[in-house]
Amino acid sequence: MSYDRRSAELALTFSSEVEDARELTFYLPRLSDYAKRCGAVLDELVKAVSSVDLSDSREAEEWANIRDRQLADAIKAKPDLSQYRETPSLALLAFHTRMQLDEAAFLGGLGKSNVGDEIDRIAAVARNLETKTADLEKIWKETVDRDGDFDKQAEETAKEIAKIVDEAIETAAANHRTLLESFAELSKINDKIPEGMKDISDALPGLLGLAVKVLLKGLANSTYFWAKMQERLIEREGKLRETFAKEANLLLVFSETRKEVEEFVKTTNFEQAEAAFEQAEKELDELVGAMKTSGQKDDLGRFRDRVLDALEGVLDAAERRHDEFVTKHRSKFFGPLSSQVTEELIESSRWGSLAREIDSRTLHDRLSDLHSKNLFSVSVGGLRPEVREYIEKEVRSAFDEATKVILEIDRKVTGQPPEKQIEEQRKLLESRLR
Amino acid sequence: MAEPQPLVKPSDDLTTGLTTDRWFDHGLRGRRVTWIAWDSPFRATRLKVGDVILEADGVPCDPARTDLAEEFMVGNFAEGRGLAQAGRKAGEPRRLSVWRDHERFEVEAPIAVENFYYDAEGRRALAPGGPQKLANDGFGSAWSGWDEELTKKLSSVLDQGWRRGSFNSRQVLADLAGHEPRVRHLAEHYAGPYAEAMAADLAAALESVRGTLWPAEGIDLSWRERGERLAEEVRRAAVEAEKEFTAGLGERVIPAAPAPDPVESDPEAFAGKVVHLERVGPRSMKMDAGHPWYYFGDLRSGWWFLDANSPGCQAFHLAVENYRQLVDMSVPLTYRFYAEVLPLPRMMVVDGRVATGLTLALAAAMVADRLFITVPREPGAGGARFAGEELLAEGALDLPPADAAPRAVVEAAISALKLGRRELWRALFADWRLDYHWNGAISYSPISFNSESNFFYAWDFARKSLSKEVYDLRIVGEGPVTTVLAPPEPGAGPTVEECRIEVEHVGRFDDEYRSFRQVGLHRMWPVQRVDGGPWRLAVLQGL
Repeated sequence: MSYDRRSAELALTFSSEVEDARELTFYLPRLSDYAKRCGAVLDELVKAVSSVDLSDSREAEEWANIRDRQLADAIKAKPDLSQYRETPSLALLAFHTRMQLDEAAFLGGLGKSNVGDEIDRIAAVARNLETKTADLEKIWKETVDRDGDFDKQAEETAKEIAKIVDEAIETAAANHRTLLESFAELSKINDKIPEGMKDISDALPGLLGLAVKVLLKGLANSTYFWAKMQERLIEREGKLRETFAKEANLLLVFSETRKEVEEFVKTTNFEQAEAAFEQAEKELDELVGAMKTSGQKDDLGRFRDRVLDALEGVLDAAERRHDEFVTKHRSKFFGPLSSQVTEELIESSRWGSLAREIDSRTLHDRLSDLHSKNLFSVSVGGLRPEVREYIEKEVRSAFDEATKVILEIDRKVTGQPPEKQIEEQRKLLESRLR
Repeated sequence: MAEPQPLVKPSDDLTTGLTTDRWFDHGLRGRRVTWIAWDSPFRATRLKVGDVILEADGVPCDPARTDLAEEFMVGNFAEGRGLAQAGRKAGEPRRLSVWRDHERFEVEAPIAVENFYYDAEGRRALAPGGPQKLANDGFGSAWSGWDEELTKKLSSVLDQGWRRGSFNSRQVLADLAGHEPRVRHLAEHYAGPYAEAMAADLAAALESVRGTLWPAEGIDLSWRERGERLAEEVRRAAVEAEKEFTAGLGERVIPAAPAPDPVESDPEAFAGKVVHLERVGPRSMKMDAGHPWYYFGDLRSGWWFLDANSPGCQAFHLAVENYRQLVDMSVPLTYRFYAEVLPLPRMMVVDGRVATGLTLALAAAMVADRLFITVPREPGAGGARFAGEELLAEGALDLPPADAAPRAVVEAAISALKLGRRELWRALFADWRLDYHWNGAISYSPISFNSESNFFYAWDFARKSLSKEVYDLRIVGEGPVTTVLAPPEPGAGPTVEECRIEVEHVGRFDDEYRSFRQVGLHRMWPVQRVDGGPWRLAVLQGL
């Protein structure tokens, strides 16, 4: 028998105080049976702690049920003098009375103990940490996957924008070529303009009709192209902005999840499991302290040690789950974010390449470059100065008009320079992770 | 001419014509009379079925006494043999000391002999002249079988019937009424003492199971009418409050489905909007690593999340519980939520899959179309209230004083149940327990072992019964205060006193208020006190 001190103590005291053989025959077996049942109460309770199922949220109830059932059995087994047909001796009465009072401390103390609640608290910490660990893994995967999708979409859109800009530049270059050809045509008719014309403007429409026609046709083509390109760019730009917004929203969700996990960590952590263990230890110590006899104290002391040993197993399980939780999710879902996690979500290197992708092909710069460097680099030598002056004036005016249209489109499309847009997005994402 | 067949042939076996069973109660030990045969000489005495015989001819009828032959005790199967062994003769008086309703009295009747009865044709009969045991006179069963069956049923009514846990008075009434035609047939065709005894026993049993008639004018239904009136007034207030609430929402209402994905849409765009969520209930709630949440939606139409532990939800749940306790326990827990959208996105795992949605704050809720609860944005100490809650302010109750009599404790419990004062009712129960052992011994436990869930179910059952079949409870008896447990010497243990209060439950049958009994309704309400402390209900029972 595991808990035999109280039993031996009762038997010894009884034998030394009660001498009547009939009383011994009547009382001692009942006393022994009662002591056995008290031992069974303690055994069953230790067994209940040893077999705690972390997935069961009703361990405390189960513990209380076992306790109540076993205690009820023990109470029923208490020696009952009313069953004794003889008149009990004073010695028996005195022993019985003292035993009743001492046992009330044992039965009442154990009956009111709340160790089961502490078992539940430890088990709940372990269970919740396990669930949260698995859930957060899924949430992290979902976050990274969706973030990756947005990155891919942004890159594709950037490439599309770059392609459209390339096409624009190519078209502009084609227009230049047309102009160059026009100028070549103008060189050919140079000699046909009469010398010393007073009012060159009268002759020019007729003389230069062909050249101007070609020029205007080129410009008309150019304007049509830019209108179509505008639609394409606006669409792509909208797509990029939308992708950026979604990515920012995703990080907002992540940030809210982090707040919630911070809260979870405050309410569910190993320290709490340890506190529950300490509380159980304190309650068990108090229970032992409340016992009236050394036999009870010895038995309950052993019971306390066994319960705590078993409970340590539950605590270890909680610690393992806590460690796993911390290993997997610290610096990601709680605590300061690690640079690795930040990089995984923001990918600063990507921003550089994305910016370069769009920046290096900025429409504004490239058109300006094209216009300033290339437009009048063609040779118009051979034209008389007044003719050349006239043509230059008209063509520049027409081209300036076209450039204005193009740049207006460019402005409408981007609203702000792409590099600035990208930089702002990067800052927004970083702020969401703060 | 042939000699006429004798209708009665006496045997040599002695009998009192009584049937008895063991009886233990409060240290009182004896034999309880379960039946008195129609031809028993004791029919002519005060003795009744249900009485307890404590002594017979000065010898205790204590079943726990191993020095007495229990089988020879009065009314037991070998009583006749015992009488013969004691040298008793037929016709000698048998004197019984009887206990009934806390009164002890003596009865005396001559010892009889077992008789065999025959009809005019010499066939075995139940009584002189008939009916024949094996005939059935066109009824479904033979007379002997019928007699045995009816006797058993009558015994179960007249022998402590109302005090039996499984007794269903209205069911027994219907059953016994079915025997009236055959008893009339008996009187018409076999008139005599047997027929008269059967008719009288059936009438007595029917009278008993019909229950005490309570004049309608004496039945106070004000508490019930108050409950019904309150429930109706609260319902009306709920309808009005919901109308007013929804009218005030204006353009803020958006459909609950599809729910926006806060990654795909800007959460701020939905902030302050309000969604209706129908058919919400406790099943809509799930645990997220120990934290309860209401989840609405599915993978196709998106998700909304509501923190079930949020101050708003807690206030809502308290208001529902308050209503259940004070007005109607049976209100179904089906809700219609009005929830405000917060610009707080959440990503959670629902049924193993990641779900993304916006968080809600509970603004108001209609419960089962019966109560409407408005939840303040920041519920403070006042919490959430349901429309019409101010109507319930009346009817406050207090715990009876420490020296209140046992009856007052039961009355307080009944009032608390009627008016929905759960805490008061809960406080009226003992926190100790006595265990009654098979041999009559009693042991004391310093704890009652009553779990809160047991209290919950008892209260729930009682409140539901009071809203349905139980119209009133009447105290009809109050036993003496007896010491059921005393220490062997002063101060060596608790002294427990007990008093049993007898309660009848009043139901309504055919426009009459009558006492009735069915499973779950308790007639005896034991009240105890320890060492002269306050009286408390000793047994956890609802009604």
